[in-house]
Amino acid sequence: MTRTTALRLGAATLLLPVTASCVTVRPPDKPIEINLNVKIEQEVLVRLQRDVDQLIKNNPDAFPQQPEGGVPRQ
Amino acid sequence: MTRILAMLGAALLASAPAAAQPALGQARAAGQVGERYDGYLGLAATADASVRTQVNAVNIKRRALYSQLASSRGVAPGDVGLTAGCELLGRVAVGEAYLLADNRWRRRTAGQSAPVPDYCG
Repeated sequence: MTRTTALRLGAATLLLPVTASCVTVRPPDKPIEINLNVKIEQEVLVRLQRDVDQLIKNNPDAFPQQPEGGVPRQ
Repeated sequence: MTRILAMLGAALLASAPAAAQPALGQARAAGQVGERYDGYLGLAATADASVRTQVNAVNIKRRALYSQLASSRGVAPGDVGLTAGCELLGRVAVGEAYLLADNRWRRRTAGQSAPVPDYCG
């Protein structure tokens, strides 16, 4: 019993500095970069762009526009 | 009484399809549903069954369209999806959710430009 209490006290003392330490969050100086491992040939992308635009425009049921108008927002 | 209830039920059923489409728009505006980088819609948060059904229906249509275009242009359907993803990410409105290739859902905040990845060119 006493041994258990002593053990607990010991554990608590060990944990104390950890719990007492303060966590500071500093915003990064550089903009956050997201590494995206997407493999697509630029040439393929450029070649498909016009077709895809038409596809989106001609199939509103597959590409529903937002109610407040279909103008692309930049 | 039974007749009134039956009429009420019929009225509710009749109004269901009309309410189906706005549900998706609302879920999108609320950040529950968003565009994915691969050209498909995805669930950023839990959404009710009707929204999930609509997302699936849209994605089935998109898959068919991408496959069709891919075979006529001799490219992979995934490439068509990624190209569409570039276009669709450019249309993400403020407050809407979107998924990039790191598989993390984010929401476009006010003042933030459309989340078009660099590979989109």
